[in-house]
Order: sequence, then C-alpha cells, then structure tokens
Amino acid sequence: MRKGAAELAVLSVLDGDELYGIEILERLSGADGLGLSDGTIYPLLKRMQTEGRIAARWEPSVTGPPRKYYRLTQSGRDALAPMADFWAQFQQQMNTIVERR
Amino acid sequence: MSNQAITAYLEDLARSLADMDRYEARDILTETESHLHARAGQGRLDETLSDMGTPQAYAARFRGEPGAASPARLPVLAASGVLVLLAFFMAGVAVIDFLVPSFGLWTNSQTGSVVLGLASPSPTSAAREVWSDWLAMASLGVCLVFAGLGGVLARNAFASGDAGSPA
Repeated sequence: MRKGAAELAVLSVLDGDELYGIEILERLSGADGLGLSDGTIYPLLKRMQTEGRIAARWEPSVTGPPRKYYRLTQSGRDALAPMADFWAQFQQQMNTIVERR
Repeated sequence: MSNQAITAYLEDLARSLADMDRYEARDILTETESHLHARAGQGRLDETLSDMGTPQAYAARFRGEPGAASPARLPVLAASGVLVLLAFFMAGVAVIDFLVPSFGLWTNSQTGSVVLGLASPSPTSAAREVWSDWLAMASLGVCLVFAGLGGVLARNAFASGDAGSPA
C-alpha cells in the first residue's frame, strides 16, 4: 500500500509542475510515512519513468552538475485521477471504521 | 573533503552499476552526482550518504532487488538465511539417517557423550542409538519448521519498506 501511496504522492506533486529530485522531496517533506527519502526517491522515479507515467529531461545548472527535471506524461495524468479517487474513498472508509471504535 | 567523499561514492556506484545498460548507468550516476553536490551545498552530505546506504545497496535499488531498500531489513534477512541453512542441515540429517543405518544420534552411558554421526558399536559397548526410528522423521519435521519460519521472515522483510523497491 505504501508503494502505491508514494507513487500517488509523486504524481500529485508533479501535476502541473516540472520538478527535480530535491524539489520533489521538499514538496513531500513531512510525509515521512511514505518512506521516500534521498535514498529511495530516484529508484521510484526511474520505475515510474520506465512505466511511462513520468518523463524527464536534463537541464544544465549554473551552480553545478545538470539537473534532471520530471513531469507527468499523459499516461501519468490518466492514472492520477482514478488513484486520487480511490485514495479519497479508502481514506473515508478507514475514517468511518476507526471512528466507530 | 565533500568532493572526495562524493567522488569515492560515485566511483563505487559506477562499479556497482557496471552490469547495467551503459546509458542508464550514466543517467543514474549524473543524477546522483547532482543530488550529492546539492546536498553538500546544504551541509547535508553525511546525512544523505547515510540514507542512501552503500553504493552496492543503492545500485541494487535501481534494479528493484528486494532487500536492498532498507538497511533495517538486513538483520531479518540474515535470520531468515540462518533458518534456511538450518533447514538444509536438518534435511541432510534426515536423508543420511534414512540411507545409512549406522548413522544416528549415539549416546554412551559410560562416558556421558552424545554424538551425531556414524557408529558401529560392539554388543558389549555402552553406546546406544537414541530415536533410531524417529530421527529422520523428526529431522524432516524440524527442517520444515525452519524452512517455514525462514520463508515467513524473508517475505515480511521484502514486504516492508516497499517504496524503495521499484520492482
């Protein structure tokens, strides 16, 4: 479940934005439960790129090595809406169950 | 000092990615270099290198190899490995006990010794085989228990922290 949540979080922060790895991590700061960190974000981005949900391009940087910017593909945009709907329903169902205690 | 640490890490990472597609490996190395320099600029290089783990473990994460995502999994995987080895040992005991009649668990009431192995005691010897009929079955049972526990531990280790396992 955490893998799906991490992927949904990455798709969400890339929705409408083109970001590089550290910017993605900064947008996700505070969401420690996702398990995303400096050591895990790039393998996940690579997998999502391989699956065609995100695309990337290199941009030269004036301060150091080039940066790789990620953006959503059409496939990623198509996946985001149903994933977000599922998550909202799941969250609502879990809240209902937990509040019944 | 930061540059030296980054260079050393990238060299090790390049070696660990040597079996990967050349362009893919270069992509990972360039992005890692960019990330480490940016973190060094923020004064967070040590913390970042610690989070990434060894270059070998970090490279394995790109291949989706389970077990490499979290250093916390390693003790569980090690325990699983020990249990599987013990399962193989018990299976070996069961097979040998089944095939070789003189193999077994022998005790000697005079010396108080207990030996697992081959023995051909004389009729006057104090050596006696214990569990002669049951050693193979008991070993097989213990083997299955160890194998089952090892499998459960390995499955739990692979199931945890799966955000870093892109498989």
